Amino acid sequence: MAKVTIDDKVAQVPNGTLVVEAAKKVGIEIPVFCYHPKLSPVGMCRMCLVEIGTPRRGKDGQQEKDASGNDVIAWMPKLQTACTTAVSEGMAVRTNSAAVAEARRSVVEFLLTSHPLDCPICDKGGECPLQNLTMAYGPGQSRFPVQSKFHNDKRVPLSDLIMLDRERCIQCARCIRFQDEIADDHVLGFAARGRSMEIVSLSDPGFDSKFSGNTIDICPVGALTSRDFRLAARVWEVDDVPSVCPHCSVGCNIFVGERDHQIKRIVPRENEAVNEIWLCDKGRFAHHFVFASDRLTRPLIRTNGKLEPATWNDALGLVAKKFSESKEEPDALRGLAGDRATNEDLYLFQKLFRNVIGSNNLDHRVGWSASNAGADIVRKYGAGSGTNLGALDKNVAVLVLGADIEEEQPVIRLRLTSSVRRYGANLVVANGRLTRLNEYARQSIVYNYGDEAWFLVGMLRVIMDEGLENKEFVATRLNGFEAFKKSLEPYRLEKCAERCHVRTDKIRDAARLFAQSQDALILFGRDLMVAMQQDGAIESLVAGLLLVTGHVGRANNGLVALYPHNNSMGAMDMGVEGGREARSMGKVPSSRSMYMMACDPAVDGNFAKSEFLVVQDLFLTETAKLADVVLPAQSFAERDGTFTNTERRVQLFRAALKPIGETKPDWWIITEIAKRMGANWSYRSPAKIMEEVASTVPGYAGMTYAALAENVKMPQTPYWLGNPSDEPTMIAMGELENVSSGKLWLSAVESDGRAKFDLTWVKPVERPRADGELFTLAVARSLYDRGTLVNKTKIVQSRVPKPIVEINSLDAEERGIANGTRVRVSFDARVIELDARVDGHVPPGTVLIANNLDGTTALPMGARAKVEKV
Amino acid sequence: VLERIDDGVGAMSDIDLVVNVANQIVGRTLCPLGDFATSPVLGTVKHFRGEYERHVREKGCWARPQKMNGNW
Repeated sequence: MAKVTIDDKVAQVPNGTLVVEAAKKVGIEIPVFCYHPKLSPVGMCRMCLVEIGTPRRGKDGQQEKDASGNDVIAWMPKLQTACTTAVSEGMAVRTNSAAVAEARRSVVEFLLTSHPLDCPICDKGGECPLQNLTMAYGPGQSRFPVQSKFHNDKRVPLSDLIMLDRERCIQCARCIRFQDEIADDHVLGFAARGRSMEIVSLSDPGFDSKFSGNTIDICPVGALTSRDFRLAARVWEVDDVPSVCPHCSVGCNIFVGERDHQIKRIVPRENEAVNEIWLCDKGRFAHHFVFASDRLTRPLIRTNGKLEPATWNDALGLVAKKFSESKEEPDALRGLAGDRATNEDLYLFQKLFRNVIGSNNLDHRVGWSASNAGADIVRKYGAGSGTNLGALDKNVAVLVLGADIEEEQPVIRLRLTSSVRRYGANLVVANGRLTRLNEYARQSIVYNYGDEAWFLVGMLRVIMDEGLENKEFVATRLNGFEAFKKSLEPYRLEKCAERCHVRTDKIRDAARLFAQSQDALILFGRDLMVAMQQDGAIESLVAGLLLVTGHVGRANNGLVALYPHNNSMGAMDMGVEGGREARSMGKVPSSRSMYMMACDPAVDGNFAKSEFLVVQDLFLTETAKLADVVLPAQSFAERDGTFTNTERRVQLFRAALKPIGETKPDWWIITEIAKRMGANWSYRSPAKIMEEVASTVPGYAGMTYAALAENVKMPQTPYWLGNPSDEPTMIAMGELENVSSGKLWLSAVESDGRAKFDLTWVKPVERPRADGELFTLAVARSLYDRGTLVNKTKIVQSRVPKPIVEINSLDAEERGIANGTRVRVSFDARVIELDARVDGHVPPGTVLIANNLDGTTALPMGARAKVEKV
Repeated sequence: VLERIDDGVGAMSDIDLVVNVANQIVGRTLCPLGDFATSPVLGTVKHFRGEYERHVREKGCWARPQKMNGNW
């Protein structure tokens, strides 16, 4: 710790703290442009110049004292940048002297000689640090005639998403540093020097990053603006409503910017535990589905073979009548609820089936989410509370199994990158192919698809052989350790290594790192979930790995399942699964009647229409076109609700818009159906439903709306709209409050600190050896896809990749395939033709196709595929 | 500002402005060359202030060839 005196206030801060941060601690604002708390300091803008001095020591090495006994300070002759100077013991800082004020005034004056006066039409106007700091510290009047202003291009599209105004740029390099340090996509740079210096895109297509939108937020001027929000509204007229992103399972916190009952823009809402202050471009821009012109606005009933508009009363009455008929024979009605619906909707959905209809015939695993697996071990050994994936340090080992985090949970990739780069976490990435995350891995492991279990057995074997188990944990918290150890004995490391095709030293290194680290996390993704369904051993091996090493029940320890959708975890928590076994991928068993909420199995094919089909959705989906009754539901922006993210964090979002047309929230529709079936339900709001969830669902105790709303960061009011006497303090952009909201439900191992857990051994499957001619079909998912949530947003369409098949160079050479060669892939009686890409991401014997693009849906993971040149 | 003085549209206050701006640069730039970039201006104003004033007074440069209307 160091004691620093800043303008007569004394701050006690850790050594290495920057002066600008130390000043914040004692409530003193040092204005900045280029400095950003999340980025490395560069000291380019000179706005933060202050006077800095250190204690003067005499020739004897002793502190010199003045007459009144105070330390004598040796002031540095020149002003120093507060954003690059680290504190030292006894340092003194003056931020309010005349010299400092003069320096700030001149820096602002210089910036403004090259900055246009177009605030009235600038998207940043109203939330612009340059505007604010000019008001606070600027000269007020320019000494240079307006004719001598510097002019430059005002419309330079960097990409389909971002527009650059070169005139407004103050060359702080925040955007470049964000791309280099946080996103690690090196696609921006400076060109030229001096006044001609400009930001340029170094990639083709321009500004090719999944996180480009964040540069709009951190730009301290209006140089980088959103092409979606461009000239759409003034920021102070936009009402920012706290919400949660409806796309992937990260559950990024957002503000929905509403004006005139339209979504104008989406900006990130700070939550240090989830998304910090970042958002991926899909979350930021793909919101146009809410206002798509083809949204369902009225209930539809099929009459004479055609879907005709009807009243809610008629539609609900018909549904209730048909559902009541199936009360006699409960299995005649099947319910499917997509894992995009809220916890409240899913809870009522299962309650309707279990309590009112008396059936257990329901599921949430539809089409792609058919891969949701591993919920049992997550409930038991889920990551401890306090785990922050963005700040894992060198004491933490992170084992990522079968996941493509870059495409499926992009913000988690960004945060793991900063864990590795900034804090030194040790990352082990194991999958059947190379993904973006492998760049940051200390140990990259590529095993054979289908032999995941053997890799895990190998790791466990190393731990047992070398005695790396956590002896205390094994003795006090585990049952069946000896038996487990004995079952492992027949599996030699060499045999495991040979089966999964990974070198023994790599398995050994991964196992040692995992077992010997103070903390360790396992993150597993969709590839492993698919494998779990084919090999029951994997689940118990993953649990075994955590238990044997004792890496459970504490912060930065345990399991994180990376599910595909925003509320996959919630769907499992609410118990929307049961009855019949989950079927093979995408195949939906048919029943006499079916009730579908927020899901579209027909789009993947393999869907047989039942006698009576009810579909509740936002759009007239492929499934809805077959329906007998279509009920129009509401999107996340029109109603309140909660989602549970992939780390088990329950998060609240608020309605931002008026309902569109006659749409109703799902919970209301289910309640009305139940009432018409004679149930005594009286839910008036999702908050009331959550109260019931809190009292019945394990782990959700105490999760009321009031509790979930705690610490939710509220929109900042521009200070001139607030109390006029308020001092304009802390107005520099990038001011972080380090807030964190939402509530994590505790895993079993954490909620009961003394419970004992069973180690169970399941024998891994010995697959027959693959023969040389056929390839293993691996299935990826692309962030931007052809789904209804994305295809309504025009500006991101250029980001949707063309479907391709990735093949290893060895295989490609053998078959005369090169980049761009047309290739025919045949499997399971299906044939698709695609262009090939040869880039070494897949191992020999495997081909990789993204599942959610044009013409590539419902691909069976792990199928044997024939690949030939067309 | 120097161009302004040189073109004959400068004001007396511009001389002080030039000095003032140069002093805003000295000691505050990121680049150490910034400190020295100001010395031609500061130096000439210090030693030849009269010439600057004459430029302002006589609305332009008397020594520049094109101003001599070709009368070499």
